[in-house]
Amino acid sequence: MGNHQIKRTQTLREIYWNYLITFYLFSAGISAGAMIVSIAADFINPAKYVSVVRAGAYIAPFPIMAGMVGLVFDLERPWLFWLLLTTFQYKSIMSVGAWIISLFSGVSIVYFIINLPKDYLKLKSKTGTVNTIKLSGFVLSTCVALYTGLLLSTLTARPLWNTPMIPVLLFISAIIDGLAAISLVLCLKRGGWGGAPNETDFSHSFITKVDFTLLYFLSLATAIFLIGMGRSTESAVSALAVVTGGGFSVSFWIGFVAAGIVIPFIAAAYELFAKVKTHKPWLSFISATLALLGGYIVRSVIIDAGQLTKTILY
Amino acid sequence: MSANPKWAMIIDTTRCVGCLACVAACHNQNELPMTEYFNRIEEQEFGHFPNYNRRFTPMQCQHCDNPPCVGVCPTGASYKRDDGIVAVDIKKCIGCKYCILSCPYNARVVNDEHGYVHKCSFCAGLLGKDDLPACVGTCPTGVRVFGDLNDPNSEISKLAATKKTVQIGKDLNTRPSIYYIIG
Amino acid sequence: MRAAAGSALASGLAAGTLSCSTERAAGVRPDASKIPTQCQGCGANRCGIYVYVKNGRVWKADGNPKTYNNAGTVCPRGHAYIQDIYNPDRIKQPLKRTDKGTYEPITWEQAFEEISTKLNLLIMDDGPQSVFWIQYPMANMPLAFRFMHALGSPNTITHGATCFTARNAAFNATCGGLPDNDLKNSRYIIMVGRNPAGGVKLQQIRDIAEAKRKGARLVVLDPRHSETAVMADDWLAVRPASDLAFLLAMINVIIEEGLYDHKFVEEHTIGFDSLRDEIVTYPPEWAEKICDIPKETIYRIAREFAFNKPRALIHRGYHGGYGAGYLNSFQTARAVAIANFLIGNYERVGGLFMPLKPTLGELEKGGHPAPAIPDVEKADGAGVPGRYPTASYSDGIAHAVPELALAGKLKAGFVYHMNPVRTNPNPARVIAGYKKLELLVTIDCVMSETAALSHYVLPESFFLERDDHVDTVHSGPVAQLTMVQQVVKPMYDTKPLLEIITGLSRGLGIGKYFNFTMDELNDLRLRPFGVTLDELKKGGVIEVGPRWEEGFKPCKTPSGKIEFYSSQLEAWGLDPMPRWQEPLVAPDSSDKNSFRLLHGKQAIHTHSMTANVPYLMELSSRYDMIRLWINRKRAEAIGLKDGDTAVVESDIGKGTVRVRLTDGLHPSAVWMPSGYGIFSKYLTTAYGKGINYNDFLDTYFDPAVGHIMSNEIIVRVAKA
Ligand SMILES: Nc1nc2c(c(=O)[nH]1)N[C@H]1C(S)=C(S)[C@@H](COP(=O)(O)OP(=O)(O)OC[C@H]3O[C@@H](n4cnc5c(=O)[nH]c(N)nc54)[C@H](O)[C@@H]3O)O[C@H]1N2
Ligand SMILES: Nc1nc2c(c(=O)[nH]1)N[C@H]1C(S)=C(S)[C@@H](COP(=O)(O)OP(=O)(O)OC[C@H]3O[C@@H](n4cnc5c(=O)[nH]c(N)nc54)[C@H](O)[C@@H]3O)O[C@H]1N2
Ligand code: SF4
Ligand code: SF4
Ligand code: SF4
Ligand code: SF4
Ligand code: SF4
Ligand SMILES: [Mo]
Repeated sequence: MGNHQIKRTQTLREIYWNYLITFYLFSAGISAGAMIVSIAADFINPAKYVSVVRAGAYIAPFPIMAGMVGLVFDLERPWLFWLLLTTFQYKSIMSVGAWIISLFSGVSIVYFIINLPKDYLKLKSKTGTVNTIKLSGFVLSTCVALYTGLLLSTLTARPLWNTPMIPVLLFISAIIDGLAAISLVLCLKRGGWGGAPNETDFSHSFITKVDFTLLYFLSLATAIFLIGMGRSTESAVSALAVVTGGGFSVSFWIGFVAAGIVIPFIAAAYELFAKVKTHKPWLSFISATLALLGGYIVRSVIIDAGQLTKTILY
Repeated sequence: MSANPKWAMIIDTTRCVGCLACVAACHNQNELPMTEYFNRIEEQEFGHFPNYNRRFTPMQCQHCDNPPCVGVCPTGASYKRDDGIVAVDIKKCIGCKYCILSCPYNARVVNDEHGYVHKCSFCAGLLGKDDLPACVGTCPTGVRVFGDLNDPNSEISKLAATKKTVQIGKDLNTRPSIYYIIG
Repeated sequence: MRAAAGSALASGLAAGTLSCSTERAAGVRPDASKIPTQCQGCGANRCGIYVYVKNGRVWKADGNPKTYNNAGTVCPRGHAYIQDIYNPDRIKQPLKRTDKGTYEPITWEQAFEEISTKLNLLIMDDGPQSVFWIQYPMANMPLAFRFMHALGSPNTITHGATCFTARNAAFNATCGGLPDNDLKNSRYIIMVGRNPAGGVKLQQIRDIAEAKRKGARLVVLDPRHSETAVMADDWLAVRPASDLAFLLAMINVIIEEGLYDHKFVEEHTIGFDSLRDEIVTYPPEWAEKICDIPKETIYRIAREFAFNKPRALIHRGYHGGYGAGYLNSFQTARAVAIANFLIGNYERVGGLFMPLKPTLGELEKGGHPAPAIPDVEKADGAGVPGRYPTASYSDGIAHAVPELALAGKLKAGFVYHMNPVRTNPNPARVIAGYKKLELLVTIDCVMSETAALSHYVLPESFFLERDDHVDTVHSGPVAQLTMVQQVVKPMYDTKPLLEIITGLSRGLGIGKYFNFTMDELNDLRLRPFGVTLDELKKGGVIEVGPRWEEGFKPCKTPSGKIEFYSSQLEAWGLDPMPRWQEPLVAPDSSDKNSFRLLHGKQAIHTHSMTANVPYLMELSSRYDMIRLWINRKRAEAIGLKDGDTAVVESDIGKGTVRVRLTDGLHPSAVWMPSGYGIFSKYLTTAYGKGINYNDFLDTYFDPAVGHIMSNEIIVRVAKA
C-alpha cells in the first residue's frame, strides 16, 4: 500500500519520550560502561591501570543519578515516582530496570568509596567483601547497560526498536561511552593516579585497545542493524527509512556514524598502528568527546525515530 | 449476559461511513478534554479514478487478551480484568508513557490536566446495564456490535459464528477483543 | 425532573472540562437526569434525543429509539451541539447596532418598543408587504406565518431556493407531493447525488445499511466518491450536471425493453405515449458521451433496477444532485420521479411512498382566531404565474430578498434561525441588499454574519433552555409527534421565539393574536390526538394515527394520476416532459486550471451554523477536512501536491484553501466542503477558517423555480 493512501490522523502526540529519556539512557550507559571498564581493568591489572580503575569508579555513580532525575521529570506525574519502588512487576522491563538501577546506584557508591585513596569503609583487608562488591557491580552494570536497550527492543509496536540489535548496539555504545568518559577524566587529570611512572600511558593504551575493539564491534552491530532492518517487514523498512533517509539522516550519518564511530575509530587505529605510546590528551579529548556525542545522538535518533514509526500502519 | 462475561466488539468496516458520531459520543460519555481521544477513524483510499474505493476503519483500544500495555506497566496501574477489559487504575499511574509506546494500536492518551494515561474502557461503567457503549449506540449504520462472547445467544456470538472476521495486528500476538469485518 | 436539572454552570468550553476518574471506568454510574427533547443541531432532522444533565451541567445525548428520523442514534453534530450551550460566543442579551457599527446591550422592553415603533412607521409608508420574515422552517414556522399574516404581509420565506426547490417542484408536478423512500425494504437503491452519510439523515443511512445486510444492491451516482459510496456496489462517477442524460437513457432502456410495470403505467399514469415518443432520442449510446458512464453500465443499471421492481427505487434526492444545483435540475428531478414510477414503485413496499403527516390541532379551537392570509402576491414571485409559478408559495425565494431590498420593494425584515448572509450566493450582493433595509432584526443565538449586519439582534434561548412548538417532522411510514423540551434553565437574558413575537406584537397592534403561552399552544396542537402535553414531554415522542400501508392513493396532481406529461407545466411555458438540457456553464476544456466547483456536506457540520462549535472545528482540523478535493491527475498537471495551498477564483470571488488530492473525484470538478468560510468576527472559533462555495457563485434565478443553481460555478484553481 503506497504511502499516500494512509491519512495519518490518529496521533495525538508524536513524541511521548523526549530528550529527558535520551539523557537518561545515555547517562545510565556512561555509568554502567564506566563501571564495567573500571572493574574489568581492576581484574586485569589494578596497579598498571589504576587510573582507569579509579576514574571509572569515580564516574560511575553520578551520571545515572542525574539521569534518574531526568527520568522522574519525564513522568507526567513526577510526584508519584516512588510508586516505582513500592511494587515489583517482573514482566515490566521498566520496573525491573528501576530496581536494578537502584541497586546499581547503591553498589556504585560503595565501589566509588572503596576506590577513594582513604579507606573510609575499612574494607581494604576484607578481600572477600571487596570482591563481592566488584562482582555484583560488574553484574549490575552489565544489566544496566543491557536494560537501556531492552527497554526499547521488547516493544513489538515499534519496528525500529523491536530488534535484538538495539540492546547489542546500546550495550556496546554504553561501554564506549564509559570508556570515553574515563578517557576524558584522564585528559583533565594530567598524570593519573600514581602507580608506575608512565601509568597514564599504560591506561591510555588500554583504553585505546578496548576502544578500538569495541568500535569495531559497534560498526559491525550497526551494519547488521541496518542490513537486517532493511530486509525486514514493511514497517521495519519504512522505520529505517526515517532514520537513514528521513529527517534524522543528518544526525544519524554525521552525528552517530561519522562522529561517533568513524573518527574515533580512525584515531584509535592511528594510535595503535602508528604505535603511539604516549598519551596525547588533545587527541584523546577530541576522540572521547566525539564518541560521547555519537552516543548521545544515536540514542536520541533511536528514541525519536522509534516513536514516529509504528508496526501497524494506522 | 453469561455468568463470566467476555466482552468483545465486532466492527464492520464495510458499513462505516466515517461520520465520526462514535468519536463525538465517546467524548461526551467520558467527558474528555477536546484534544484527547479514545477512538478514531482511519481513512484509506484504494485504486485509481474511476475504479476507486475507500475504507473507514474505526480504531480504539482492542482490549487485547495478551496486552503489551499491561506487561510493560511498571506500577501495575494497567491491568486486565476477568471480563476481558483492559483497564487503568489512574491512582497508580505515574505517567511514564511506557504503555503508550507499547501499544501497537495507538490507543492510549495522556490526560493533559492530571498526567495519567487513559483510554477506551469499553464504557465499563455502562456494562451490565441496559446501555451499550456510547460509540456503539450512536452508530447510524450499526458498524459496531458489542457483547459477551461467552454468551452463545448474544448478537455478537451469533455474528462471530456467521461472518469472517480478522483481528488487526494478529501477528503481534496481542489477541485483540475487537474483530473486524473487512470487505 | 425539571427541578433536578437545575441551572447550568457557565464555565469552560465544549466537550466537558471535568476530569475522568477511575471510579467511572470501574463501573460506578454517575447520577444524572435524562430528559427527552429534540436535537436542533440541524433544522433538517430534529432528531429525538435524551439529554443527560449531571451536577446541573449538560453531559451527553442519546438517541430516542422510537423516533423515525434517528431511531436511537445521534450524529456527531448532535453530540457536540448540546455542549454549545456553553459557547462563550452566545448572545447574552438583546443588542442594538450603534452608529459606529458596534453593538450595545439593551433591555427587551426597549428592543420591543423601538422595533415596533420603527416597523409601524415603515408599514404606514410602504405597506405591510414591504416586510418579510425569513427562517429555516422549524416546527415553530406557523408562529412566523401568524405574525406576518397579522401584519398583512405574505412574505414568509425559507431557505428552500438555496436547497431543494427544484426537486420539490418536480415531484409536485409528477405525483402531487414529495414522497419518502422505503429504503429499508428496497432491493435495489440508486442514489443520485444524495449522500445521507454526509448530508445526514440518520434513518436513511441506517436503512440503507439494513437493506444491504438483507442483500440489497446500492448504486451511487456522484462525481465524488461520497461517504455513502463507501457502502455502494457501484460508484458511478458521473460528469457533474449530466445526471439527466443518464436518467433519460435509463428511462429509454426501461421503455424500449418493455421493463416497466405495464399495469401500473396503464392504470395510474398519464402521458406514457408522449414519453415513449420523446425518449427514443436518448439511448445509452447517446448518454455515455455526455455523462461519462459507459453505455454497458447504463444498460445494466437500468435492467437491474427494473428487474427488482417494484422493490427498487431512485432516492428522491435532496440538495446535492438536483435540489438547486443546475439549470437542468428541475428536469433531472422530473426524470428521477418518472424513472421511479415507470417501475410502479409508487406507494409500494421498497419503493416510494407519501409520508403520513399528522395534522396538528388549530389555535382557533382554543379561541385564538387566525389572521387572514393577505390577498397579495409574494414579493419574490413564488407561485406567481408569469414569474416563478412552480416555486412553492410557502418556501418563497430566499435569495430574492437582497434583490428586492435593493429594488426598494422590501424595507424591513426579520431573520429567524437562518443566516442568509452566509448561506445565500454572492455575499457581496447579499450584504448590499440586507444593508439597504431600513429595519433588520435577527433572532439567533450567536452573532451570525446576518446578525452582525442587523439593527437589532434578539437572542433566542438555546434549544436546551426552552420549550418549543409540537413537531411532526418525524413522520414517514408512521406519524409521530415530538417537541423541543427545556432541559436546563436559561443561562442568560434570552427568550424563546413565542415570547419574542408576543413582545413585538403588543406595540404592533396585533397583540390579540398572541395571547397564549407555549403550553396552551401545545395543548391545542395536541388536542386532536387525545394526547396530553405531559405525556409528550415524558416520552419525547408519541405515535399517532395509523401506519402507512401499501396501495395506490390518488395523487394531488390535476389528473389525480402520476403525470409523465404535465399539461400544467406546459401551460406555464415549461417543458411538459423531461428533455435533455445543457447546464448553464461548463469548464473550459482547453484550460488545465478550469474546473466546475461542487460542494457538499460533511457529517460534522451543518450549513453555516456549526463551524463555530469548538469541538466540531477540532474534528475538522484533526481529520484535515477543511480541504478542497481535487482529482489527483489534474492536480498533478497543475503542480499541486496533497496539502498544498491553492488559489480558487471565479468571476465573483477569490480565496485560498488547502487541497486534498484524490482519485475519488471526477476530473472536471473540484469539491468544497460546505461548512466553512465563516466571516463574522464574533464567531471566534470559526472565523477565517476555510472558504465557502457561495463566495464563488453568481446570483442566479433558475427560470423554472427560481433556485440558486448552486453548482453552476466555474473556477480557476492554481497553486498559491
Ligand atoms: N451533516 C449535515 N447533514 C445535513 C445537513 C447539513 O448541513 N449537515 N443539512 C441537511 C439539509 S438542509 C440538506 S438539503 C441535506 C443535503 O443532503 P445531500 O443533498 O445529500 O447533500 P450534499 O452534500 O449537498 O450533496 C450530496 C452529493 O451531491 C453530489 N453532487 C454534486 N453535484 C452533482 C451532480 O451533478 N450529480 C450528482 N449525481 N451528484 C452531484 C456531491 O458531490 C455530494 O456528494 O443534508 C441534510 N443533512
Ligand atoms: N455556506 C453554506 N451555505 C449553504 C449551505 C451550506 O452547507 N453552506 N447549504 C444550503 C442548504 S442545503 C440550506 S438548507 C441552507 C440553510 O441555510 P440556513 O438556515 O441559513 O443555514 P444555517 O447555517 O443552518 O443557519 C442557521 C442559523 O440559525 C441559528 N440558530 C441555530 N439554532 C438556533 C436557535 O435555536 N434559535 C435561533 N433563533 N437561531 C438558531 C444559527 O446560529 C444560524 O445562524 O443553506 C444553503 N446554503
Ligand atoms: S490495544 Fe493497546 S491499550 Fe488496548 S489492550 Fe491492546 S495494547 Fe493495551
Ligand atoms: S503511564 Fe501509567 S499506565 Fe502507562 S505504563 Fe506508566 S504507570 Fe503504567
Ligand atoms: S467503548 Fe466507550 S470508551 Fe470505548 S471508544 Fe466506545 S465510547 Fe469510547
Ligand atoms: S458512528 Fe459508525 S459509521 Fe460513523 S464513524 Fe463511527 S463507526 Fe463509522
Ligand atoms: S441529524 Fe444530527 S444534528 Fe441533525 S437533528 Fe439529528 S442528531 Fe441533531
Ligand atoms: Mo438544505
